[in-house]
Amino acid sequence: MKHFYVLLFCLFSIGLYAQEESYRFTFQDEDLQEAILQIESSTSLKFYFKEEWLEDIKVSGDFEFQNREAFLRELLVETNLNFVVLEGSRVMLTQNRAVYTSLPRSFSIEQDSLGRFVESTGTEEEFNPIAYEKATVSSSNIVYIGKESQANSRKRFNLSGRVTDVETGEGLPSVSIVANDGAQGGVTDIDGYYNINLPSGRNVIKTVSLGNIDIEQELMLYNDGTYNFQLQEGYESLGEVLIASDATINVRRPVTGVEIIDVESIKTIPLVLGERDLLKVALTRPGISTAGEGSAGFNVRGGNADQNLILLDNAVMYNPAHFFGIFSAINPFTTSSVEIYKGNIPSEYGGRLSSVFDIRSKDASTTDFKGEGSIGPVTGNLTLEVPIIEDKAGLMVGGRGTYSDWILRSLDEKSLENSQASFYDVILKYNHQLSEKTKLKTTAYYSKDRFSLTTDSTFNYSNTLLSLDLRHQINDKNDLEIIASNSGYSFNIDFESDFNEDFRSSFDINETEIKAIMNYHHSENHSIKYGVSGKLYGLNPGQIRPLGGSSVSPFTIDREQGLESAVFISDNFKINRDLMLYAGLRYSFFSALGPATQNIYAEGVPRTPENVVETREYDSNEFIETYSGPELRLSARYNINPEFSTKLSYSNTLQYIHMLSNNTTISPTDTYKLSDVNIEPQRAHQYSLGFYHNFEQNMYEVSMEGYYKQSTNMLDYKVGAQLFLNENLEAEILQGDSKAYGAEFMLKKSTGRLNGWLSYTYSRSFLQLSSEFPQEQVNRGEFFPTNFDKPHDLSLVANYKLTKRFSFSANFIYQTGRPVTVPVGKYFQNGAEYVVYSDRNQFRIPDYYRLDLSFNVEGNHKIEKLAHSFWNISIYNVLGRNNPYSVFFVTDNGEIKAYQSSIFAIPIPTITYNFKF
Amino acid sequence: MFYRNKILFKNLKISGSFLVGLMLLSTVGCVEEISFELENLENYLVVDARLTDELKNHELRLSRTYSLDQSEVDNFESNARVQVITDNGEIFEFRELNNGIYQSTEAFQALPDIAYRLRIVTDNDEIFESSPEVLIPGTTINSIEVDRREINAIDGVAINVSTTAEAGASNFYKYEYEETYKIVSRYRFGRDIKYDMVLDSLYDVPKDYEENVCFKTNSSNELIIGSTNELSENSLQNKLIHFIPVKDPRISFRYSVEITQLSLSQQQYDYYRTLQEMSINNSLFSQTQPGFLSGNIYNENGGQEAIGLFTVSSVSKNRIFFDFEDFHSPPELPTYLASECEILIPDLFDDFERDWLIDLVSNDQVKLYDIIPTGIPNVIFYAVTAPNCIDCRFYGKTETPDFWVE
Repeated sequence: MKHFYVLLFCLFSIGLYAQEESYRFTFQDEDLQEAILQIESSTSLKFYFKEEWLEDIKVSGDFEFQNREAFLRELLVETNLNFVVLEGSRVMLTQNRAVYTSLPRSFSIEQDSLGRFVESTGTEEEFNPIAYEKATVSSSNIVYIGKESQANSRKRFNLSGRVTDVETGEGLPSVSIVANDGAQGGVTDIDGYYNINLPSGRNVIKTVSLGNIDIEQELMLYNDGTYNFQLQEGYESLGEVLIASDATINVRRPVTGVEIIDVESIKTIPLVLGERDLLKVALTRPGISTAGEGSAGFNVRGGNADQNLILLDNAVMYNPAHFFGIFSAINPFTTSSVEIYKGNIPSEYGGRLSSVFDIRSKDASTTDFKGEGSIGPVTGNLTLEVPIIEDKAGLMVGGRGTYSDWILRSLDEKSLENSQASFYDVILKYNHQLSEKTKLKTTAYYSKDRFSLTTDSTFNYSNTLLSLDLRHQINDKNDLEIIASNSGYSFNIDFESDFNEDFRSSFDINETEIKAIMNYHHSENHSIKYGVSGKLYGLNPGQIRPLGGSSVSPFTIDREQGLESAVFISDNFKINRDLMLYAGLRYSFFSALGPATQNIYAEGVPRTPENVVETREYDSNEFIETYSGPELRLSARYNINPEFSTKLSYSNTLQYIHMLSNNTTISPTDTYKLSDVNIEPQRAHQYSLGFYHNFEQNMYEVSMEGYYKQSTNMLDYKVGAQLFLNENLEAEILQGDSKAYGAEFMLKKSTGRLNGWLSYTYSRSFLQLSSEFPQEQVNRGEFFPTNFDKPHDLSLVANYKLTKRFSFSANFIYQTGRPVTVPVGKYFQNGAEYVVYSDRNQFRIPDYYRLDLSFNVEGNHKIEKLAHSFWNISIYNVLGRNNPYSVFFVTDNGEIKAYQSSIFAIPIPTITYNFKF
Repeated sequence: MFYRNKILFKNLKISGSFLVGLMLLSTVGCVEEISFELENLENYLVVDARLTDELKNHELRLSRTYSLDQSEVDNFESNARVQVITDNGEIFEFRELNNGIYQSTEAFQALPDIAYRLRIVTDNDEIFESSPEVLIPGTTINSIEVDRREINAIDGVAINVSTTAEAGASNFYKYEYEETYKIVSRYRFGRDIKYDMVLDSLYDVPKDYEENVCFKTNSSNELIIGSTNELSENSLQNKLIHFIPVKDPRISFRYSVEITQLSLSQQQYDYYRTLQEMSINNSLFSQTQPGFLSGNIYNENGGQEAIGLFTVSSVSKNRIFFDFEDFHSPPELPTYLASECEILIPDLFDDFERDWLIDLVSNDQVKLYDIIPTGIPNVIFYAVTAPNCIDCRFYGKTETPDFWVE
């Protein structure tokens, strides 16, 4: 086939013109090849094809056409052949394929973190005509952009525009815009905008996307200008292929350690209790884990759970978990994608050591009223999209809630009469295209959990998020993004006892951030981003209020305030075709603000409340303590060949806010603390090296990354520390060093009947808490494994498509058991027996493994129905493996017994019904 | 210096029940026993030592930790050299009484403004020394209140203590109690049954000893701590020390409890609070990070420190008495420690039954309950029952304690 393509390119360069002629033929069961010979003899058309394609193809009928294209279309309508008419009346026949199962090879497109294009390095060799065969030329008319003028001596112009869905009017992200056979190109950003730099004069640009019918357009470019595409949804689109539109990002992007999860791609993954969950899928990617099944909080590359910046539409989400982490607080129907930066974090992000989870909600449709819903065993979910101004503004409302309260109460169980467990979350998103160059998006989110499992206490916690994102294109080279966000997290515990001691204790944190980002598309080789951000924290670390005439005394820990600001700049610098650099610098500052009282401890003695030598008072907005530091984010990519690259990166990060948790896993009652006189910011350095290889036209993606991470001032706590409502909190806190290293391997097959990924991580993470005072040491000041140190972590996610409508999926997870601290002996004291514990994390619970299966039935695309439906039948933990969550010891008849608890110990079947209209 | 200990302890209890809730929600969670292989335990020295401001021969206890699969063993530490050294050079020597209990050779009391250090040289020449501790000033117990109430759906008698904070006194206390209760035998009878082996005859004799009324004293074995800044009045109001279910035989007659309040420093209080928290069942979702609990007794050579605390406390004691009628009203009846009290009346004309009775009497397995005339002259039947139904000495001692007031 190869020579055939070369021929095709040669033909392009021959300039001829078409003649006016008519086409009149009658064929009676004629061999197509014979018919073509007849056509060639009586018209100017010249056909190019492989003889074998035409074997056994007959044509019949009367053909009478003035239009060449119409004639050819009719001629070939019964065949599996497609055609392209090239200059000089040359007709290129191509053999069609039944299903679009493979991706076109990409066009060396590079994309920075926000999806802005970086000009391509494409060459003709990389151009893959398969995509061309499929392209439908929707118009043969040349579009003139700008006026030809002698005065304009520029040789290159900028073309920008937007690619939208013809039906919904929504911008289509990640569509490749290819110009002149791949000589230039770009990719649309998250809103469908693109911007490419083209030579003046005639250009042929076309879209390359999956799931859409692509368009080719010839342009005469005399000046900078705009051209918009409207694409139709492709009939043969396969849901799981969508992620593949970023097929070569893995190899091309200069930044290491990025995971992208698209909501469509996880549709068929088996579920627990019927909830589709992006963040659970993230856990099957290398380097991302959680302390235990169903536990909240993510540990990214050996980092603590508080070291992840979890953003929903740019606003920080403090607790992305419902019901202790069994469900995530991210509504799958309103979410479009999540990008996780676990290696080199782009310089516009900061404030957390380990990772950024950049979760984006979908834009509401501006053309049609749409809805999507699901009914599962525990939750119900409904999302509506309402156009407000045709083609300009839309509103999305999504809500999700449990009916488990109802389930609990309907069980005939006396002990459950007073128990409750419920949660809900709602999201409201409004997007408005204010002008061609300005777009506004606002998001509001609220989640609430409430549970009460004993008669005397009720827990409540909630997240509140508000964000506003305004993008404005200033000119061809510069655009501005302004982000304002506010997020809060709070919990309270109501306690009602048999005594006169009822109270409510509560905690809340709130932060407001303003961020301005400028994108400067300097040239083909430099794409510069710079900006500034400022964030104000306010938190009420804890208070107690008596309830109903209780004798409990009201008590409040002083409010904490802090200001975190940063300036940042980065450049995506293309040094040559193969070498690309991402150089980012962030300088962050943090000031703890008054009014406040700070305890100063004596030097050379353990930090205990007795050793407070001074209590300093600070006035309102007085700077108590300021910390700052440069944060370098550097990475380089070198293309060994177009499908194989290597990347090297270094980054350092600073964190000024700390979660306080003395549990082995995350709990909703964990609180936060800002750095102050006594608590220094956490700092980390990470080095990583990776190799990325895509092959079989990006059908397979293999990557390997290794990292080494060193952190200082990691927070941990004295044994039995009181972290809530403690005025001498710093006396309970220990700060130590940690080190983590690992190798991550991933094999991904994005397309085909069988698709999915296999990921394996070998990683270790250790913490050291040393001090000159024995009571401030853990394990004698030696390094010990962290609570989430799980050396082997293997995940397999596979989906097999039987037909367009039926598919099977499976997950398999294997992990080393997590470290635990267990009793190793007993002693008798004060008339009672107590246990003595081992060194911290000296033992491990048994290994974890689990297999989940699901069967998916998709509604038929072909038939116009009111609602499109999707059924998912899943079995979680098919093997019924009783995976231990924790191990604990109790004294039973004078004997100490070991017990293990597990969360999902038996196979759990679920059926979920999803519908879309 | 505020410190919200008790409230947090309650929170912990709450978290302990998450497990139950989730299991019922999904009905799939599970807790099962597993075998857990453990390596050999390091042998830690355990010190249970406190001085008080009472003038007496102070006692302390040294022992060693033992492995998990052993039930309570007397793993005491003998032959250690134990001293308490003050910062003005005074040395109080301790001598081992028995089984790891060491007593000061002279009576002394802890005085304010003097720092005391405990020094232990073990039999294998390890040297342990405590940090210097001073007498923690305390307050006196205001009152002990007793009331009947339901706690966790159990009807019972609650014994509570109230203490008011005083300027200069510690806010942190440890409580111990010693309960003494009167035991009245379920049945009483003035004669004993005997068997004369020579004559092969059963006969009865009058009793010449007391077995109807006894007293039993128990020490608390729970860790009870409290702080005076929990409540708005800056005091400990009705701090629950002891709770006795309403049908408990201990409160069937007359009951007395002496509560000892020991002052603690905040650090010592935190030690006990943590010990308490780590001894509670862990919950499914939020397990408090356990670990080695550092006390104040260190190995002088930098080796493994000892488990336990050396404290110097002010003591306040208070005693109360109450009767069954004070918290019970008809038709509630006292219960007895002896619950299985079958009355047997063997037929002495039946050789088998007679031999059986002789056997029970010879082995002290029964006591005489009554003498039953048969209507035949000189022929009587003996009604017998289990000895503990007659003899309260199975449960306590007959001597009336010195402090006892009827």
